[in-house]
Amino acid sequence: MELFAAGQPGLFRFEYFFALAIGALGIYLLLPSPRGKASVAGSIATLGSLGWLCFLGLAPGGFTIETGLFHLFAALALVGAVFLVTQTNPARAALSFVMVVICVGGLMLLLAAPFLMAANMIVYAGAIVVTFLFVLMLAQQDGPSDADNRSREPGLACFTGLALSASLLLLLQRDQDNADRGLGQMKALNAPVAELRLKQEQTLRREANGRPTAPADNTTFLGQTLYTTLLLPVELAGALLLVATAGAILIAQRRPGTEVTP
Amino acid sequence: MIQIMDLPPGLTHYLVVGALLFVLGLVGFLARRNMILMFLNAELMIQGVALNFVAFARHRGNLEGQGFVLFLLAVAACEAAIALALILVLYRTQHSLDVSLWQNLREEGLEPILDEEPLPLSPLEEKSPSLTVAGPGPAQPEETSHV
Repeated sequence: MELFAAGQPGLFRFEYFFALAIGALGIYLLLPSPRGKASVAGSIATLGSLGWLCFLGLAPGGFTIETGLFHLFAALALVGAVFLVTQTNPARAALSFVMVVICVGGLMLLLAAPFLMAANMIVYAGAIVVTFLFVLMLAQQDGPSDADNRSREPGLACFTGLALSASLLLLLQRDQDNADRGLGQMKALNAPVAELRLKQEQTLRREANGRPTAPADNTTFLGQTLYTTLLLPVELAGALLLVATAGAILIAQRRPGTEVTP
Repeated sequence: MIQIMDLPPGLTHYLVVGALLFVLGLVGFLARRNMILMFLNAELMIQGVALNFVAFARHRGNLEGQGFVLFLLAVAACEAAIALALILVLYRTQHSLDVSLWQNLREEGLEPILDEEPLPLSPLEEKSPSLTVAGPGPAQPEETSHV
């Protein structure tokens, strides 16, 4: 709740923007280019921006084990993501994606979702990345190649990322400012929505620290939700998987006359 | 008003991490040229979205957000299957994973993007060892004194 508590409500906190801008510069320097990348300066800038963001995220509430684990997993996930974006060796990039998946799994555990943690790791780290690694190793070429050692418009890509992340943070911060001002103002603006929220919040059972209780038996309750509220989407997802399997087989078929010998 | 999640890390913390993962995936998707890495970056964006869903499920105290992440997994599996099939077809015709080889599909009137800077030489490239030429040996300097 305290993430954006430092400044005036309604004003954009510029320290976040500066941290993001330094991070974008670092990733620009780290992206592969035929001139060779500025690894040292780029790493310092990216790590500095990440550390600054972590420091800004530390609340004055003090250190708890949950805070420490959250910052550890979040920082490792972001470092893995930066590696995935900037590595020239695609196999290493795929392995750093596994690191991202594991750290996101840790964050899901902190959010009381153990089943999803396991499912996420099995599907991504166990199935998708391994299949991608097979294809990578079949298609791997020796030495530098156009595919791995050049970037397509790195400056514009980093600028897009900076614009998107800054606007997302601005939105989140506005939302939080509105939440901090409480339900009273919201009631004046939109009475039915405010009443609904109030009713929802009163019916939630809460723990001592004010969070809603999550069911202890996550898998059972998740299964119940899937086969009661979300029954139709489950059937649709099954149909989608079937269609995707048939489509993949159809696309990958060899057709005469399309192959070119190198 | 009951304060929701008064202790850090709150909902906003997780939303920021999810947003940053999404943005990094976007930058990678736009900037990289290896087709497989582009798809891995798309998966990274999906991870950010999944984190958002789980955080909202915790915030609201119900499990529908977590159910949606399962559908996200199903869609990601479909996407991986189709993507690998497409990459296989494209690799068979061009024998490279470089996505810029397909820029002849671009819009009419756009200039092609050409790579001007040469690639650096591979650091692994070494001169193969060579033997000395066989035949009469080089003339040795004769000793001046015959004792």
